[in-house]
Amino acid sequence: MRETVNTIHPVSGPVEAKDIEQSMPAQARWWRRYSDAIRSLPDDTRAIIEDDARYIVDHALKSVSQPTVDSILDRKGQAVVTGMVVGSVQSGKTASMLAVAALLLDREVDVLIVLAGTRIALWLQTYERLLRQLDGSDLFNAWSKNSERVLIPQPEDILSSGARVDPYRYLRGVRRRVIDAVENRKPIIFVIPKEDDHLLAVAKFLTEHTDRGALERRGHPLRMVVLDDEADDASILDAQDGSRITPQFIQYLWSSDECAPATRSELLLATYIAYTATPQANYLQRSHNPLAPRHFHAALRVPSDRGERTPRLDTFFERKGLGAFYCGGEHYYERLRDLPGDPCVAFPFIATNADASATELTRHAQVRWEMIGSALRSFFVAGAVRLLLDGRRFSTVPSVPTELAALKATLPRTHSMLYHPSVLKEGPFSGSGRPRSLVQGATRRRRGRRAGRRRFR
Amino acid sequence: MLHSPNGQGANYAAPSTASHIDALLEAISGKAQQSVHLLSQRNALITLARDIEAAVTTHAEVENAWSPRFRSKKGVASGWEELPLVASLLTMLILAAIGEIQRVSEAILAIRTFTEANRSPTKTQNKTQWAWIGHITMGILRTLEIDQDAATIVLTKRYGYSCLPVLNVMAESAEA
Repeated sequence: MRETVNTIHPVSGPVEAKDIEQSMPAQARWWRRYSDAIRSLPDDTRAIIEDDARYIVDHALKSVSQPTVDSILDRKGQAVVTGMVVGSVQSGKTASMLAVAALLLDREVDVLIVLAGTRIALWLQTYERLLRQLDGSDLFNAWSKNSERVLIPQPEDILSSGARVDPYRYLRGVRRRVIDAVENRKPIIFVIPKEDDHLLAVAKFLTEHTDRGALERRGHPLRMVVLDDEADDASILDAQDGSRITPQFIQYLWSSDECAPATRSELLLATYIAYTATPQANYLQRSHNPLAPRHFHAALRVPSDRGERTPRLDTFFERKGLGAFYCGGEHYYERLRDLPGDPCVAFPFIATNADASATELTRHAQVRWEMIGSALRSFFVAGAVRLLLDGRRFSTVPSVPTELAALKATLPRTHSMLYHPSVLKEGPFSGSGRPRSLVQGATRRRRGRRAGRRRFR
Repeated sequence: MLHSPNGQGANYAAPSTASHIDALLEAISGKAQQSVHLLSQRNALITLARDIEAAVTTHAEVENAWSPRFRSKKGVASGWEELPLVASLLTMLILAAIGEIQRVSEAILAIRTFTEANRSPTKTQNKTQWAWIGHITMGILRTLEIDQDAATIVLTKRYGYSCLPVLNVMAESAEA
């Protein structure tokens, strides 16, 4: 077993301690509220969420250069800071994003835009979580915080109605408050889906209400930070047909065709932070995608049995123990390799093509059958072991409608299996029938042996 | 607010919006034997324009007073249905005219609680709408502890007419 721990090195230069000290807020209202909202997490995990979030925020708010000047048009704008935060699947990216949001608001960021995925369900989920944990409110009392911040859309505009949410309508309802917030330095928080119509509407709205006149009237630069959840989705340019230009629409939030890649004004500072588990495409589009990470890079740490708060490693020691550890590729492919019960099982596989002989095709089918069969056997045996350990049985589950609490107390825990037959896009679809046919085959054979039973479960 | 519907005592008519506007304009344009209507005078119109401006501006400034469930049946924050908009604007105009509009910003929670509990009617007949408008207006004035007799005197002096007695009667039928 290998004993390696990778140290995370930021590509950009380290932030000077004095810079951080100077930028520490006198008030940490937003952070205190969020920290309280995640108090149920283990202590070590909370401490690391805070450390990682401070690391990201310190780099996100660094100025990268002096204002750029377009000599032909005599138009000035600020260079945009772009960064990347990589977090493993289900390792707490949204928790980190909200922690970063809280610290940014404490550092007096004026406009915070959370791009909450490309699907409506994910948007609503992120919105509700932000409302509860960051804003400390809900649908019915969020209005009482209107004097502290402007939240767009307002909760009632997306949580009350089942109808499609029109961005122009929810923007029209907050126009007066946004004008006031820009002038009086009150934070504005957008939580919008990464859909072209919402992005364009918000970009147009911001262009109108953060124009040169508005920025000069407030007498202070306006700082905008965009947090892009699931940044591998829609925030990369599609090489196949070139028709998807969502990254340009995201760029319009702070820029325009005339100013790109700089911001619309030297009084507008902008930072774009991408969050994803799969950042490869974002990095590969560095030459032509305005959102590609150029200034800072961070990886979120996961709980494990090793790693201190400093220096930053890719894991941290979680005193709560095994049950609180993150279980991902590192465990499957590295830590448990060659140990008894190694979860990663490989088969020598025979590739086939049109010229394959009958023997090769037969051998291919046999190996494939053995692989799927072995995986399913393991799955069923593991399921049976869990039933035994939990002392629960499907046969004791009531067959008549039962109260939810009583049902939950009886029902065995969910036992699921992910079947991923191929890395090719079409693979999962062409191979999806295999396990089912295998199970049905087993069922039929079993039925044959136990002819007296009418049903097999 | 500026013109009484036909009727008296507990029996007022509930005209449609169009016919009530017609009746107001006819009263202003007047017949030869009638005295000059107050709203045909320049000063009264300027006063009215200022009151409307104050009412509309404050109505937007105190948006937290209007529960989204009051604004529309769907409960969205950025959309208003006509009836609650009319009722809330009328209330603000009355408050502007009697010089008490500043009381609203001091009682936002109380008004929001009232509007949260009083959603617009499902029926859309004229009588129901008049009754509901009366109920909302009088309810908010009561919430703000406005002295109705004193308010009536101010309104009558300012515009030659007070809508409060009519709205009171209308509200009673809604609250009955």
